Amino acid sequence: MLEISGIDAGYGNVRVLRGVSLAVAPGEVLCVMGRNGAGKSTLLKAVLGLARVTAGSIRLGETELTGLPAHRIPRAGLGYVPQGRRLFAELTVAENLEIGLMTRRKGAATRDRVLDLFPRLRERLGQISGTLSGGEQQMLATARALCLEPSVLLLDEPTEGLQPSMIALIRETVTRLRAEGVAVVLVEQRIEAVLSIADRVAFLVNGEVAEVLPAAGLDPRAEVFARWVGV
Amino acid sequence: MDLGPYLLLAALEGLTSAAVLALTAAGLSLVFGVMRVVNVAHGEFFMLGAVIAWFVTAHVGGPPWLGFLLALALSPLVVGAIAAAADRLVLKRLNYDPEATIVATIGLLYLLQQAALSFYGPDARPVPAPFDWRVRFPWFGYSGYKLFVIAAAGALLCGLWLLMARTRFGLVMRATQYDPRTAQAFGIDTDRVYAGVFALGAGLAAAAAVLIAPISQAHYLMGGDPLLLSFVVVIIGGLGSLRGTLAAALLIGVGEGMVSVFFSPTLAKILATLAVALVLVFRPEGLFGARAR
Amino acid sequence: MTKIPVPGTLSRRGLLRGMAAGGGLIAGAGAFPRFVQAQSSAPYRLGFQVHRTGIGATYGRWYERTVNAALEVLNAGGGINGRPVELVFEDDATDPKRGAEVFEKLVTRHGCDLVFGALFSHVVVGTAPRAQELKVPYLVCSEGHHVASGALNRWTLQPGITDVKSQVQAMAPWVSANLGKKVTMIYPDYAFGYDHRDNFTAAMAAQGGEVIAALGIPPTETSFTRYLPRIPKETEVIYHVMVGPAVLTFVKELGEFYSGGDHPAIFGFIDSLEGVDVASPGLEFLEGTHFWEGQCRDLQEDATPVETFYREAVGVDAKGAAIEDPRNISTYSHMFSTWETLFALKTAMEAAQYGGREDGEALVEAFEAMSEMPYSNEHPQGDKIFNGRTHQAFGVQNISKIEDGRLVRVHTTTIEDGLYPDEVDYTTRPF
Repeated sequence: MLEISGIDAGYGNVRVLRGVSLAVAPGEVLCVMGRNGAGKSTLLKAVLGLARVTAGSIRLGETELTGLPAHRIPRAGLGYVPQGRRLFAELTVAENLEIGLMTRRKGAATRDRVLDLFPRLRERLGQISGTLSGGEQQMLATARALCLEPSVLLLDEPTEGLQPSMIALIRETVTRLRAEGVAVVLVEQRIEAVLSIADRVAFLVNGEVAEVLPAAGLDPRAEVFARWVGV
Repeated sequence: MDLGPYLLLAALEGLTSAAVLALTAAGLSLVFGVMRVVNVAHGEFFMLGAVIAWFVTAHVGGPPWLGFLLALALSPLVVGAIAAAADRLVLKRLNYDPEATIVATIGLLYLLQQAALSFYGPDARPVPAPFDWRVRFPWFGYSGYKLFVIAAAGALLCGLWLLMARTRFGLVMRATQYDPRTAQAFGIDTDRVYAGVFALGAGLAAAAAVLIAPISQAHYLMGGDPLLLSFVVVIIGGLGSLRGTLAAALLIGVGEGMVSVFFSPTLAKILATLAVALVLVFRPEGLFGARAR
Repeated sequence: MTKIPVPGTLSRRGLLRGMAAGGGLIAGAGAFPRFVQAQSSAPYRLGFQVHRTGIGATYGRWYERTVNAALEVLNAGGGINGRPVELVFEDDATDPKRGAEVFEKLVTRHGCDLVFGALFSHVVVGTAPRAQELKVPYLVCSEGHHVASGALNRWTLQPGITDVKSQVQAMAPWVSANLGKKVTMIYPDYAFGYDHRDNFTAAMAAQGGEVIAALGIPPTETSFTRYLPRIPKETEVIYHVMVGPAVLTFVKELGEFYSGGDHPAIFGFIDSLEGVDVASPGLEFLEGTHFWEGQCRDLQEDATPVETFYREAVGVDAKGAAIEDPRNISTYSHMFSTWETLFALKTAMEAAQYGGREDGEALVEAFEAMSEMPYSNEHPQGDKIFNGRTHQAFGVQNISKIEDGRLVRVHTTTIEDGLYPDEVDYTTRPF
């Protein structure tokens, strides 16, 4: 499905990622872990064309994504839930969803399906999104990405700063998407959140992939976490 | 003249200049709001609008209203196309860096001014009004065309509001304004949005100029005042806020008209400048600008 | 030996050095090399400071056209001192700072013997000090009172056109006798306007009239309606004089303001409508109003051969428009000044036996000795006398009335109507 092979990427003249190769299959959840500054967010941005890729290739199925202008990439079927949510804060809930729908020209049916996942948003369609609670904002950010009906979903620390009930909702959503065959790339810091959901875990260190392990059988106290993620 | 009619006249004059000012400033505000570009060449787009109106009306036969309507349709289109080209050829290549674009638009200002001087010449030329109808109040006569200008500018501003609030293009513009990177992650071609916004901003200035040309003629140096007043309006009203722009244009236009009539135009300019200074010190986001959320 | 650099052959640095050297030579007056004089059949080069762009552009275009026509006549008649004359034009953008730069460029780079041609008073006032520094005669065609007021210097003269003070003073007797005694004045809010305001107020008082309101309008103003309510109701005469690109707007708005009602008598200086067709749409209400004209724009019934000769030479039709384009209206009441200045120069240069720039002082003194300049092909606006002490020419003035869209002369003043006591004696000033 999504195949990243040997990419170098960064911003301006600063290279953040070096020779990163990763792949994620339909119905699979790949978690990306690493210390701050390891290049996790940059990896997602590189896939989306928001960070500059200077070597290697990124393919979605048969489609080569590297070199495409940034606005064309999501149209291939990539949904993005950015870190810190990055809602269009002055726009209403409905308008934020509309932006998501417009990306791949989806209509009312998609919108209804997404709102069924997050009924609370349906009550707040006319509200300015910046005035929502943190959990509601995260729902909206996720819903906005789902409005693309993505085949690949990229989530950047979606549980950051959320209450346990909201974290459960996000996990539930991801699980459901996986069941529907969506490939999920999840950047996450919290080990228990990762282990409850991931199929495989990739560890990024200083912009390089240090190790990729199946999540099954990993223990939260496993030595790898201390080595690649711990302080 | 008695106070009542005096006030009426001052109000009409103020409304006329406020209407044109609101249109012009809305263009400037839009460009800054969405693109974060301080467009110093905005006044020259205004000037081009009037100059093109002169070319159109001078070369189209038939009744004056026909030439005028054609000018009102064509001039903003042509000016918008020039602006879009300037965006693609210059601003985009500077990555919309705030300082670089100021310098670039200053260059554009001189370029457009000199082009107008070369192709249009140094004279002030009258553009015929679409109709010659005068309102006869008991105390004084007044140009019916000026009333038309107020109505037409109002209609165009309503149209702009509808465009921003009710259409997909408006939605895309607003999304780009708040977060261009994320907008790109949702398939929005921000380059096209920027070109479109720059064209729209310039087109608004051009439309305002077509409206004012039958009142004040077309001249290659006419862009200075509208630019300055637009900045005043935009600073007082709050950058990127259409409502604020409208309110500030009314405040400045009508207020300046009143003060000029009852006291002196110099005092009006002093007060306007003072207002800008006060707003910058005490409410830098403008009277109607939203605080960062 | 200093060579005049050919444009485009020098680096900027070299050019600057050359200009500095030239400036230094001229500043050390008299030390200028005598090669110009040696080639006695070489043409005189005269610099012309032209308002080709900026707010004075309409005037500038016609000044250039008129002086070129005069030059042709002059050279066809043998030039000056038997030598042909060349004009070098430089655009000053109607800007005082550019004006001074252009003056210097004409003198040091183009090697002109003197400079003339400027109209707008702020340009004249901004340029005149440079004439004194470089010790080069500066002949202005401005009608401003700044020369005769003593504000400028010995190198600055105005031999081709009457100054505003004299024009205005000559109007007052006729206005008070024929139009009314209570006058409201509308004028641009800077020096040129103040000349009108101050001198007309004084001249009206002398006639038993009164200026009851004076509305100064900022020169950058583009809309005027809001000033008009300040015209007092008891006004008998509105006196208007406006300049710049907005003049047409001003007159139109005055018409709109009074549409449908009685209005006071209107007397204007044609400056308000120089370069504008008085029959333009929106100006209908001017019918029956009066104007000062320096020279009658519309060909009059009793036109003399001098008038037709001048008109034909410049290429102006009977309506005052360019013969090739009837929409291109001339600035007929001012542009004769460039023609007359050129011929006054001829007289003075011949009297001074002018050879080259070292004769600059002699040229100024020759002007100062001049007095009468009779009506002729050389002085087509009318008889003039030149006051050598004030460096100012005085001539006759016309008052015309708009009848059926034509400006018809109804009165011509005498030179004496416009004379006033000297305010300066430049001949006592050092060079």
